[in-house]
Amino acid sequence: MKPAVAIVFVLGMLPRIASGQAAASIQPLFESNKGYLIRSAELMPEANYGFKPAPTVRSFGEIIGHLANENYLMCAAGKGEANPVAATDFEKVAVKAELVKALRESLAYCDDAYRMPDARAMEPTEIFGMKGNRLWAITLNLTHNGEHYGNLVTYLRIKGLVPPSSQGSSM
Amino acid sequence: MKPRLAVALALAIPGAVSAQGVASVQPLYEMSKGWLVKSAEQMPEADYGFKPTPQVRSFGELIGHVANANFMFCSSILGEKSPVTQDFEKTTDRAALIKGIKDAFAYCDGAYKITDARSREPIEFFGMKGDKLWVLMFNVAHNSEHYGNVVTYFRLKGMVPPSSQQGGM
Repeated sequence: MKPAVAIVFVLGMLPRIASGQAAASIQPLFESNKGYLIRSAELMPEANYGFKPAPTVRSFGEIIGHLANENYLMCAAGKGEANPVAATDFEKVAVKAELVKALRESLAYCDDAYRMPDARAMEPTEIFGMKGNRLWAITLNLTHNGEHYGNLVTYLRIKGLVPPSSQGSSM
Repeated sequence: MKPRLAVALALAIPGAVSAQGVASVQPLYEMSKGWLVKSAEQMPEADYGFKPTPQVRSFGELIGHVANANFMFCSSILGEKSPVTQDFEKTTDRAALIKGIKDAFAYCDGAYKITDARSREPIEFFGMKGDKLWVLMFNVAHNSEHYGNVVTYFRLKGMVPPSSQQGGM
């Protein structure tokens, strides 16, 4: 956790220069976090997918499934589409390979949302009946992913693993 | 953690649809700010030194780190020299850390009130180039990630984190 800021700076924060589009300001942050989430899902051994640090919280695998669910939900709102997997609850999936695949696919579904032009970004949308614009929807997606990545970091550390954001720097 | 999404959504509603990029991120900033301040207040002093494993920051160090980072990010956005030189990560006193994080957010509040035109001004942050909206979003993403650490620290101590104290979802 300690080197997280330094590495985030290096990997995450190189925005495309001066595109003038609001979504382009957030897209590099999404990309950085996306990489950390996928690598976390891959890094955790299958045997620890059921691990939860306290009985009151999601297991590691449930967090991965939850992120897949919410990426689809929030990015569908960002893109102005119906959620393509609304009938599926990935939080109920227990197999690591399936969860890694679901997470990857959900983040790939989000990719387009982070490339929308301003005219689109400022259009109204709704998430769970609350109103905002599409830029708000994808910003919520990013901060939600960031928050749960913060959970995963601690789960990985408790299992003696170095989280992706702390690999590759000595700071 | 489970009810967090419901609460997050309840608190993260923008005031109204606005054509401003800043207005899209500001309510999310307010939400994580509230959770982080409440977290700092909720954790007993005896657990400020708690860390789940030896390699990571203690709870108090996380609060200090978030205070440092908010001063750093927001002074950059505002084009000012940071008003503090203190390293709050080295602060161990709970009351001083609560004050530190509150002061940092009070300072940041101004950054989340810049105009949309100003949010598109170019900025250099740690040698990388972007616009101010990017740094505003980066700050919230960084705060959210560390709030995610804090949540798990609370749960390990048998406490319910602020974001899970309201919703029943």
